Amino acid sequence: MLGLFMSSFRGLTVLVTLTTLLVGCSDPLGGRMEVSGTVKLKGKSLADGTVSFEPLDGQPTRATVMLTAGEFTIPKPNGLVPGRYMIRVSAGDGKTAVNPVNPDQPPGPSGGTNIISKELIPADWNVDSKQEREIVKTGPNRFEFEIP
Amino acid sequence: MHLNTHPSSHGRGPLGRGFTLIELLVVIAIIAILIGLLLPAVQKVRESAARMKCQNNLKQISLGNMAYENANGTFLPGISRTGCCWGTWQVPILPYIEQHGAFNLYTNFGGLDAGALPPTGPRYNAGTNLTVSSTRMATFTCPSDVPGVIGTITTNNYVLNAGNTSFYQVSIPINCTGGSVTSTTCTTFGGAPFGWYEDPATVAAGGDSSPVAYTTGNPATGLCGRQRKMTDITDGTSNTLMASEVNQGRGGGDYRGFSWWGGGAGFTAYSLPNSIDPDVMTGAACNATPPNAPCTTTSTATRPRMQVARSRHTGGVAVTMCDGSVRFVSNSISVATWRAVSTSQGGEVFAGDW
Repeated sequence: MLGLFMSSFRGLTVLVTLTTLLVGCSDPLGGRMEVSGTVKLKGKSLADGTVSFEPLDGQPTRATVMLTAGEFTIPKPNGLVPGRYMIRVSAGDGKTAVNPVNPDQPPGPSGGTNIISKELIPADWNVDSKQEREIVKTGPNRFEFEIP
Repeated sequence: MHLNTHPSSHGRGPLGRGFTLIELLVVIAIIAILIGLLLPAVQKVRESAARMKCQNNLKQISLGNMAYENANGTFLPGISRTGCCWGTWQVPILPYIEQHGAFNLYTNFGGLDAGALPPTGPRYNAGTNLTVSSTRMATFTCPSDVPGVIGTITTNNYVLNAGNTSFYQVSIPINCTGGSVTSTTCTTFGGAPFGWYEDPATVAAGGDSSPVAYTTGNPATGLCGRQRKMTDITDGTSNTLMASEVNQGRGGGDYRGFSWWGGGAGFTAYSLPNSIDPDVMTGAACNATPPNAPCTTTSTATRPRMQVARSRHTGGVAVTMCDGSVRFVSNSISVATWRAVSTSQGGEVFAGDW
């Protein structure tokens, strides 16, 4: 009688463990984390622009998120899997083309059809960014970027 | 089951045959539950039928491209004519998707621009060209989306593959050094089956470029694209995207899916499908109010002009490959794989999630 009880108890333990494992493995979002934060340029909230997270450890996720009044949120479904990311902030002035052309025209490698806006963010937060941040599995992934 | 049993057996007298209030309520409740169960299923079937139609359109487009290749020896000319509004890929494909009438109406396709104004002939929005661009074509429309117009000109759902970076078809950030096709910090352009075609006169005068020149192409002075041959797809036609879906902008003033105009006729795989990354619609306008995706009109060196692959389906986008096959790509595809399948000459080794 006791033996029967013990074996069914063991079976139950195995079942519970398996269920936990299966549920643990079936996270449809693949361990993505919500990421949020703020961006300040020279002490002022950056009203308009984007923050990009570029994976440095071969992670499968990346994001370029738009700022709303200096704030950004990458919701969990579009979130980032843990690991190191390079941060790139970009804010064009939207007026000064570094290659002045007719804005009515579509792009293409041929001359005169490309419009790239003047960048307001210094190179070390933009094209030559050395900014690295780690997305972690535990705790809120909230970042406050202060660009000098 | 026993509706007609003898009334006296239940002791209800002559009026006893029929339902009691409780029975009626139970039946109504059961019907309500059944409807509740069935309606979502019907909705799902409707969406899955729409998705099938949508994928079938992609199949028609890729077969049209194949038929064009058969007849001309090259893929469709490209996404759009370099310069301005001189006709996108949607024009030369017309005879191959049984739209000869519309094709014959369209004039000045790929017409000369040479940076000079006034233009040398009607654009997509003038004369009989307007009749064509205002025609709602089922093959260019995904039934999962809401058909839209800008003025009278239709917005559409399918766009050609412009590669792994931006519409400029150079590295991101533009002019970065020391990068590679697989790098996430300096991503070089790995070739694409479609570019921005030059007018025939320029090409005849030796103005075409090999895809190799793209990698050194300067966004301001780079060389024009030439029509790709099957053999230019060195990654293999089964490993290279041909076309994808985008969503038509809603609410007015949104040029996403405005594919009679060059800036709305292509997509790149720099950003993941259906991601929160903005579409960069420089030279046009966009409206980021949901359900439209985020967007901006400001193109910068690190966030250049691009349209992101998007759909109204759940969980991913439908795409077609250069070999004519159609597949459904999950939103959770890895950055490396998504970019690898967009390049035509990247030489990448595929990860396990393709």
